[in-house]
Amino acid sequence: MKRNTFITTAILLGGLSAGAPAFAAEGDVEFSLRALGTLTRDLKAGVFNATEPRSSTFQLVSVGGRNLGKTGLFGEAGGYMAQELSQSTLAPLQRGDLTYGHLGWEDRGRHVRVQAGRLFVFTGAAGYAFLDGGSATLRLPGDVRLDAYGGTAAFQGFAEGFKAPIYGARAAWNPWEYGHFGLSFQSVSDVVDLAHRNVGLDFALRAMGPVKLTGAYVHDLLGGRTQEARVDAAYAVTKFLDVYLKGEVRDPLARLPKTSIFLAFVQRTDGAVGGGFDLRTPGALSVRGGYDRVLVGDGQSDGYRGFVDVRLRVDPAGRHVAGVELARLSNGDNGYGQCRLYGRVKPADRWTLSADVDGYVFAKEIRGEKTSLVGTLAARWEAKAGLLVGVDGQVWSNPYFTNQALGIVSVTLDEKLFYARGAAPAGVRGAK
Amino acid sequence: MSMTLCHLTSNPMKHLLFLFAALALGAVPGCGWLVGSWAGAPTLEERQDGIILSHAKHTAEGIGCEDCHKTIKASETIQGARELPKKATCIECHDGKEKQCGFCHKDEKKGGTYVDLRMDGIRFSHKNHIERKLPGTDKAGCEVCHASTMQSTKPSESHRPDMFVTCMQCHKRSFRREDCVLCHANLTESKQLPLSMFDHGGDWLNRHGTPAKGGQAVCAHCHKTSFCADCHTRAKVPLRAELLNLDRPDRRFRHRGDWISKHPIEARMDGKSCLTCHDKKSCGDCHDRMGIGHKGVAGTQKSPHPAGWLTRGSGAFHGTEARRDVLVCAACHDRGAASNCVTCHRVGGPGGNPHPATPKTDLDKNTSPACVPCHK
Repeated sequence: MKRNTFITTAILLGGLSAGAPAFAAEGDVEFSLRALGTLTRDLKAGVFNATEPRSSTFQLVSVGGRNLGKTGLFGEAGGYMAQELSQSTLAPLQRGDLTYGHLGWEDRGRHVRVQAGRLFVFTGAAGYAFLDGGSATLRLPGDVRLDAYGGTAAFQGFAEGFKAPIYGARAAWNPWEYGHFGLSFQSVSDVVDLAHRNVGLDFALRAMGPVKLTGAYVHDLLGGRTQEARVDAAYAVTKFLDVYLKGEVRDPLARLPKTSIFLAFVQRTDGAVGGGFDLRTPGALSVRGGYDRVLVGDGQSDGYRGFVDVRLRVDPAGRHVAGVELARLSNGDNGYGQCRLYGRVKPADRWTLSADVDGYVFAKEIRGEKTSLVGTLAARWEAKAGLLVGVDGQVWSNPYFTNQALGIVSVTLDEKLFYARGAAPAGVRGAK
Repeated sequence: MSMTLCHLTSNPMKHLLFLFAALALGAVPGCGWLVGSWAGAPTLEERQDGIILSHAKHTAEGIGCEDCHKTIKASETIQGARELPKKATCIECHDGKEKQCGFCHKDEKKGGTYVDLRMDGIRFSHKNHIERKLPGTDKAGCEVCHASTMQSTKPSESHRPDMFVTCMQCHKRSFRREDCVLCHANLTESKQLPLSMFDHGGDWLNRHGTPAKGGQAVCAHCHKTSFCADCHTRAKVPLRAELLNLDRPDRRFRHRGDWISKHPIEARMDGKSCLTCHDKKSCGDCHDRMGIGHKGVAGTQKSPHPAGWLTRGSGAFHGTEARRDVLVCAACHDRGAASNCVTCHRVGGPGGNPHPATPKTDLDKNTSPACVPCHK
């Protein structure tokens, strides 16, 4: 089965890739192919003589196009094929999958949009869907928008081997430049029983001038209770400084299907309040940070998380970046402090070098270890426009793996065939 | 980090990592300092190499826009310097005999050319705009969009039309309909992002879900499906997004760094968010692969559970832990009627009543799929 999937995906993606340039003269087409080879080796504590290395190759392809043939047709597809080169891995030797892939059509006035295939549907608070099926959007007068979708879940954790039926809809009113109200519904089944059935409300609006409010509320129709409520207020203090506050109430079991016996063990409500800032100076410096207080229903696991990320852009064109990120998290039982140092430079026109060192100190020992470290070096060489060659190395020392080294060699071909390179496409509508 | 250093002595590999860290981090600012300055991104005034043209002075002399920008009326694309006057145009008035080059060139002996003003990815036709009237007014022509430029005494970034001020005079409806493609051919790579409207500051990674519930169309203008798919396709991606982007340490990812050690700590804060992308299979597969799966005996290295897991009052009793965070249990053990909890917690079983003091009233024990395995 996995081998068949591999071959099917190879044929499908190969065909799409070969066909993509044919549409380029009429629409906007993008095509990307990435080939990677990885080598992973576990290293016993401090000694480079460890177990058998594992190696794999991956090919990731994505292709997308808009207004193909000036017909309003559009489509996107992305997927991968993997070949394990070593026998020591538990993964199948060959595997592949279509990550997403759909075709659609939109009229010139953008009143109607339909699409079918494997697609994401992020619309409304009731829930997002990753499905094999279709969706439709209808824009009505009065800035009203209707969305509907249905199909079977492309991935649904609680329904292994079964394509869980999923459908939903959203009605929204978008009266302002920044502002909308949406009412949504989603239903998911697990074999024969309903697993989720939610209604949701989402909104975004400007209040008191520059304050932007966004929020969502989800009600669990099967459980008859609030599944999630959240609100986020962002305020642009100046052109260079944004601050935000957020609050959230959630049912920790919300994502469990209503068929799970684990629902019978616990009933509680968690919450979180927090805030943060984002400072971007006109010069080289930018700083962002945030703090959340997490309130767990039993009161014993209340915790917090906070971080600050200081970043310097160290050349006139902003091509070189160096940063320090500090974070602290505690959940009442364990926690960690983090110090991360990273940078990205372009020492020459076609070269990019990156370094990242991420260190942790745990509040309590994990498997006898109190620290862990991950170090990464990456180099990219732009052989020509759209063709990137990369070499990455990562070493990782933590309480679980003891030590591990990873190497990745990659070639990325990224082709963007935009109609007339930025020119207005024929027939594009004027200002409305 | 000082605590970290204390623990290095037990693990020579960490010495190597710290050496690597020191070298790498020294190299980053070092290279940056060598290649550029620490002054930050320069403004247009700083970048432009010598031309100090005053639009105000020319306008006051009665010189019209098209007298210098001769091709602008027919222009259908933004091609930067192509729309700017050639030297021959300037010489129509400034013949150079009275050393007038210094009017515009800082160094008249070595006059520079225009700074690169190209705006890749922007679709704009001056031809389609220049003779249109501003809705509800009689205003038309260059000043509708370029009023401040006509008063300027030197080039400045601030004189460029601002999307939210200038374009929105007419394009409010396009914006509301998320019709960005009308002008932005490629927002994924454009430098002209409307950041003031869609700022991604602070802890955006954890906040983005709320605004995204308003619909993906807005996100999709800047982010390709493959960008979202990196994280949101659950089991349909071959490698973690972090591994596919090791050259982007400036990007934020959910599982960066030592996520293996972090994930049980973070899951306790918000286990629900784990289940957005992961199912019990992905947990079980990895735990089995790492040798810490369900086949291990509690208290051994092969089990994620501590000693005393099945002993009430042990301090590590599973019932207490389950009350604290049952999602952690569900991540591996939720298999419907086949869940191993049922073995002991069925009615009449040795595990006794597992329900909390305030039992759920919304489930019918005789018909609910969650109840039937134990109550049948």
